Amino acid sequence: MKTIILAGNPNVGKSVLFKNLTGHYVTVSNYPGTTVELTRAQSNFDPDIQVVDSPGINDLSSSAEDSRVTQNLLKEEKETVLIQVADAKNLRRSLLLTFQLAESGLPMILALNMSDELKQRGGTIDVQKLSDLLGIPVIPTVAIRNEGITELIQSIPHASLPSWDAPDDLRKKNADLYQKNCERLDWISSILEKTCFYIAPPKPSIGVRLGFWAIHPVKGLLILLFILWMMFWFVGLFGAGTLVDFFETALFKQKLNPFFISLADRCLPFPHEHSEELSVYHLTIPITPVHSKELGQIKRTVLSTEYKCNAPLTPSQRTFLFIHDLLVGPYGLLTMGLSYALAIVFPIVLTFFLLFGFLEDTGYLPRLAIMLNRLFRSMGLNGKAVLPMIMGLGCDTMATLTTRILETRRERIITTFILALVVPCSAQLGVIMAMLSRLSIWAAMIWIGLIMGVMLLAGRLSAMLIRGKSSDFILEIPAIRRPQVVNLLSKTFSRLEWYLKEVIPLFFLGTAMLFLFDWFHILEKIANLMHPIVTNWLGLPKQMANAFLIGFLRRDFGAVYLLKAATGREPLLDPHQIFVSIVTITFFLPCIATFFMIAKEHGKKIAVSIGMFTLVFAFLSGGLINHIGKWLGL
Amino acid sequence: MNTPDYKLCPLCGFEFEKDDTACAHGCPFNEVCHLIRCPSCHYEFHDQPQTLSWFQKFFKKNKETCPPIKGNYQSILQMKDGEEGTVAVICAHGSRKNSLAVFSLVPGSKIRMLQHTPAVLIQIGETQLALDTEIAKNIFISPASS
Ligand SMILES: Nc1nc2c(ncn2[C@@H]2O[C@H](COP(=O)(O)OP(=O)(O)OP(=O)(O)O)[C@@H](O)[C@H]2O)c(=O)[nH]1
Ligand SMILES: [Mg+2]
Repeated sequence: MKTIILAGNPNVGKSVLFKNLTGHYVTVSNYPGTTVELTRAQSNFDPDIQVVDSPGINDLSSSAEDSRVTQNLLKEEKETVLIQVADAKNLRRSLLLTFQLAESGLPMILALNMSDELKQRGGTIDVQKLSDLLGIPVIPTVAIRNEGITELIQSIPHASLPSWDAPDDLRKKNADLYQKNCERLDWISSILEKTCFYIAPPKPSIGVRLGFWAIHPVKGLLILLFILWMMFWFVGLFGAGTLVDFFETALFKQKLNPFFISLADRCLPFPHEHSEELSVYHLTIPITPVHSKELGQIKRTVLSTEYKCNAPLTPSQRTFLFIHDLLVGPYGLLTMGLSYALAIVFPIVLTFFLLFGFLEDTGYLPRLAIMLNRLFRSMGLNGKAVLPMIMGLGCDTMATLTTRILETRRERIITTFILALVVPCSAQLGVIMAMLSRLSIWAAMIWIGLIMGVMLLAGRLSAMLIRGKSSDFILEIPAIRRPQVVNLLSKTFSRLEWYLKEVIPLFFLGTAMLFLFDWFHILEKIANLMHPIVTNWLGLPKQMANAFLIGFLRRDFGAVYLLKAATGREPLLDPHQIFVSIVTITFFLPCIATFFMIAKEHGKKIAVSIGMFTLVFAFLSGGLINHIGKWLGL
Repeated sequence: MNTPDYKLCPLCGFEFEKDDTACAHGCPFNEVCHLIRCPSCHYEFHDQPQTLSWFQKFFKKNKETCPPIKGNYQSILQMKDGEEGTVAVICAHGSRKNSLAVFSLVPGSKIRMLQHTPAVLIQIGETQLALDTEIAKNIFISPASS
């Protein structure tokens, strides 16, 4: 079995090329550090060849965490060809890496990717000459348009060990890293003089100008506000409003649930009668939180999960009743678990991932890192931590994995902690936005202010507690690019798949747990046990103990439960209680998957302490809000 | 949270625990010696004791100083937006110098200043690089070149 390794600087198109060579999709985004793990797949041109996609690196010789993965990869493989993917417009940096990779002693090919952008900026590279000077095949490619891929595949058998007549100094081992890199760069300059030419750069395109606006102190802030508003509209109003309504009422309540119920009744007969209720579905397009345009409505009388059953039951009928309730009862796997996961979480996560993927592909996020660098500095982090934080708005588990792009352990732990404490994941965020839109704009402001305040304070305090250094903020800013629709869709699809695979089993588990507790009357006991906290301290109705109970599995599940209690025809919660529960669930424990991810990345001890802290903090802050609010008479 | 004490080698940027070094295993001077040796590049550096109080830590600003530089150099912070220049001196510790070098930011490279706030943005070749002001402050160009 032969192996082809794709290595190179960050954000040069390795993952796009990997997709071209194997047909296997891995996440592609327009910022450095998208890929954090190795991915292997069989190539699509020769079943005997395996291709490996690796995380991007700038400096192979450094001992930083990110380059170690690649160093080990280069050592481990036997029959290997190394394809270095290079950004044709940054040849200087790419060649620096070529020199370092050459020391691995593997046959190499240099793929000059992004040749289209080089041309746009008025540059040309003498490919033949470069190939002669380096002694390896050099192939220009445009990975996103599949150009040059055939040539690249054809050149694989010609891969060779680099042979160049570099100055003797460069061959010395154990020289100082920096000194060595400087010498390499000198040598590269002499190569570039012979091979790389730039003609007067054309005037900046709209993309370039947009890129500058995004980091302008004033215009950048306006763009940021615009993006936040877009996000609120698209995820909070459209996703959590219109789409959730459609999935929940039109699909589940009016079609699927009655179908499940009648199916269960037919298969599991026991004497009972479901009550009927009137369900009205409004198709609306939101404009602002309080205005919306109604396009139509559907009224239906539907079967509800409530039923009456007076007759005494035989043992077999009791079994039927048990299974019936497990599937379609008030805590039914289908009527609660599945419908929460698919009707509420799915549309919200879908809209969020679409929007987030769009932002990623334009190259806006690294620019946001510039805007927020100062703020993050005060938490012992730097702008680079913006990426995992924003990712956390999608899914905290994914984001915890992404903290790998941060350089020091201290930064990784602080970021993980803040992610677990304050950053709500998309499903939770959508639900919270939907709940907030029933309160006033002031409630939303207070909530945002509270999150910001807690984030800064927690960051500042943990920066004090956790020893170690913070790294420098040195970040490469990619060009603004037009998102590829296909990539956006594949990315959203693969993330959704990942997310649902994580969510649905847990939602089933949580529902089953609630159901069993309810069946054996443990639920009441738990509710009584939690009475002092839930009712006396938080001022919420007793049933809300359930929300926190399933919140242990996933906080978005708990949030959905609260949303159900806050809305509907007879809401259980008044506005003050809604706000208290929003705050509590925001700061609640990270979900189980995140917990395991933290344990995997940083060890059990840290995972447990983060868990304990968030739990205590959530109840503490919720209670304080409750009492302060009451005291102020809100 | 009680995290182990992580050290960062100022020369090569390697991050390690003190327990992993030769200092902690068998070195007779372990208790009295204030130097640690990086297990990766064997550079020895001072293990600064943490003497800041909680209060100081909370409000601490990391100010970095650079030894005075002889000659008539100008920090790139003084360049105007859009101005070009050739880097003459970079004053930084080894690992930072190297992490700038991999973006081909070394003495002799041509840069263009793009923006100062909220963070410094410079262009080297076709790469746009964002830097902390603290780092940019200690990168100098020779005025003749601007
Ligand atoms: N114009 C142009 N853009 C490209 C080309 N190849 C890739 N891109 C874009 O470059 C960006 C980065 O691509 P990725 O494949 O994620 O880069 P990567 O090397 O895997 O990045 P890391 O995983 O972060 O190291 C994406 O936005 C791509 O659409 C190309 O040939 N031309
Ligand atoms: Mg990648």
